[in-house]
Amino acid sequence: MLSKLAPGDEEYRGRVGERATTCGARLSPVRVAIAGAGNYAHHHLKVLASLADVATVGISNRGGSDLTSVARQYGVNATFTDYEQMLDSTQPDAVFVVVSHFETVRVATSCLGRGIPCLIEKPAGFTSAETASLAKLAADHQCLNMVGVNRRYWSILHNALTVILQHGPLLGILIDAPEPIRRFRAKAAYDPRLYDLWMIASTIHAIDLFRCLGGEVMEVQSLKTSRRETSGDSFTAVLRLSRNCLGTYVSHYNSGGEWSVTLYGDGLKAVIWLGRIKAQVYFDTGSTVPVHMDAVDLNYRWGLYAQDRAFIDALASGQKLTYPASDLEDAAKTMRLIEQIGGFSEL
Amino acid sequence: MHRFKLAIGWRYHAYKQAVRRYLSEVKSAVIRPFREYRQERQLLETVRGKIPSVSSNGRAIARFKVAVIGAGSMGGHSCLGLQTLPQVEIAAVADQNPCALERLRQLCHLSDTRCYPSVEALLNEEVVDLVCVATNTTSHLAVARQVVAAGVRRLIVEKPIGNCVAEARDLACLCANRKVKLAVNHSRRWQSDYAAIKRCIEHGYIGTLRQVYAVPGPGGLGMIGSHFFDFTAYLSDSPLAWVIGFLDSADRPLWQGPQFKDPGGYAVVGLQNGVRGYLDNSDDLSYKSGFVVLKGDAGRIEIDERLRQWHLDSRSLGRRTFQFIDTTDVRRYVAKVVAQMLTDAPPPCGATEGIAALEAVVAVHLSSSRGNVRIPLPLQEKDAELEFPFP
Repeated sequence: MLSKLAPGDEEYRGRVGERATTCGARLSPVRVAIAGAGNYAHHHLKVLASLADVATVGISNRGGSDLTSVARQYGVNATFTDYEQMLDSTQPDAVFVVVSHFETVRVATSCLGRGIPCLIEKPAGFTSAETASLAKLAADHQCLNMVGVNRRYWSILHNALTVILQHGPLLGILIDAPEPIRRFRAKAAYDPRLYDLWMIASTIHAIDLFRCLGGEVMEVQSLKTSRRETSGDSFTAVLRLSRNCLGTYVSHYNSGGEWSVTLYGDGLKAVIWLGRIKAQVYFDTGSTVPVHMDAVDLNYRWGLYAQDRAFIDALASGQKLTYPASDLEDAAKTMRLIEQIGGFSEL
Repeated sequence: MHRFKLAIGWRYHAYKQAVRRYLSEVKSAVIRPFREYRQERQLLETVRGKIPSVSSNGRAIARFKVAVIGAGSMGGHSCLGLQTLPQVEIAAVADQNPCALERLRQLCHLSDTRCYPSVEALLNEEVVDLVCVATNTTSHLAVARQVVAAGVRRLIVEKPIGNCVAEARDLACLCANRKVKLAVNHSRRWQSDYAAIKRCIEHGYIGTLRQVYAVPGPGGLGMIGSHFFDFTAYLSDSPLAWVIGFLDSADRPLWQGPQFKDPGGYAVVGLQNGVRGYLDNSDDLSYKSGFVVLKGDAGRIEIDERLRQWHLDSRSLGRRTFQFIDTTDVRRYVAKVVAQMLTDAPPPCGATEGIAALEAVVAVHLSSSRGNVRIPLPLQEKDAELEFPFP
């Protein structure tokens, strides 16, 4: 009976929803549409293609990439140049918003406004107010939403954290996030408007980890200087976090090197290099132990499988998102922290 | 190597990781005994470091004098544990059974330790910093009261705290009035692996804890079950609210003597924060193997004490396995408890927690005898006055 109904039919959606709520799990696949077909969409598509309970029903892009070949590669039947047309014709259960940074809010607003659950790639807005308004829209439509900050799901990070927690509480977090802005500018690698908002566009991943690992921010003291970048190119901040640990953020743009996270525990510390995806635990006895990454992060973009799986599971079961997921309400808090560290409050 | 990399393409990293893991497993299997020895040494070093070398008023302390009351099996473990602490001297041991005293003296090589035939004699003759009460449960409270009355400021009572809730409450009041630091030896409260598990729960790895399922195996609700009632309250971070219990009907003979009774059974426990606990301590479970599942709304933790492992299974982040890093050796955790008691910090398991665990055990008995009704906690006056012959 169900199979005779068109996927977009109201009755179909109603029945699927009804079954999801009564037995706790769907019998039919979750129908996902992807807005955006850029580089990062490929990573999501690879994950979605591997999930047996997901059907990618459509992909949209305004242009710039060979949409048909992307769709063929990942077995997506329908392609669109307008995301609204995609939403109308495919009636998806969820949308992955993987469009360019400056389009994210517009597309997400449209999806949430229609009551469609969304996984929105970071940043979900360039200000905390923008993110909060998206959160309100989602709440008004009782819409499941997730912000894609995939570093929260990196297995190597959690493997290191659990080693720390095994020996005692997490005492401190040091995040060093150098950004090669000068090189990016020279190569014209990104939209030029992004460089002034780089902390929001990219370093958000690093800053978000403070809240993911240490809990809510209780207190922040920050300093910044500007040499070449008008919005600042050297940042230092100290944070007091709710899990009774201290955070230190350091970012000297163009200083070279890679992002690193150091977790301090009782009698040990773990250093995770986020560029090489390597981690090492140093004990106060002088011994060191390497921390490994889970196999799933070798096959997919690091953390992305777990993140997408968590979103699909929450959607299919009708349950709320759980740790370490970040939703729009949570992302607004991270945005407020970024504004405090980077002095973006005037935006 | 470059050709090899090209030949196998993207799988190179997966193979590399697999080989690395295999080597790491082989390495840990070969050097495991040495590593365990080294860890135990490190643990003892840590424990020793926690005992202050000066008292709270700044005066140097030569050695802490400790007395052990009860020369049975737990008294022996206590003495062996105390001997691992260089800052501690076992000043005296008391037991009314001279054979037990002599056996303990030989087992622990207590040549300089004075032995007494009664608690009164020991307390009259000795001035000690800490007393370990390791007698049978029926005498815990009476001995503890005598110790407090004699002016001792630190006291460790073996679990369960006693055989009567009302008397245990009186002891707690007495200790509070006289500012005596009292610990009840529910050992898991001192074990760092359980502290790690609690931290993982607090970190949100399994979401909100909803259920604790514990199957410790046989051994009596008073002696073994009380540990798990306390453990449930500890990990749930909430007091126990009610108990429904089912006692085993068979009269299990106890090696401590026919005057003691401690049947097994099973129970459902409700905590004030809504967590449910299920404990099966039935005598027909053939062997002791602490197995606990902590179920949250976003994952679970499985603890297998026999294999010294715990597994963290997070719905979003997958499964991780950890070996116990702390000791489960009774002597060594006694050393940890004593070391902690000699500091100024409050004990992780004091009178309140000890009494709560006893109340749960008593509630199982009451529920079982009243047709498995739900017994609210804390116990009401008349129920609290009942005495039980726990060994």
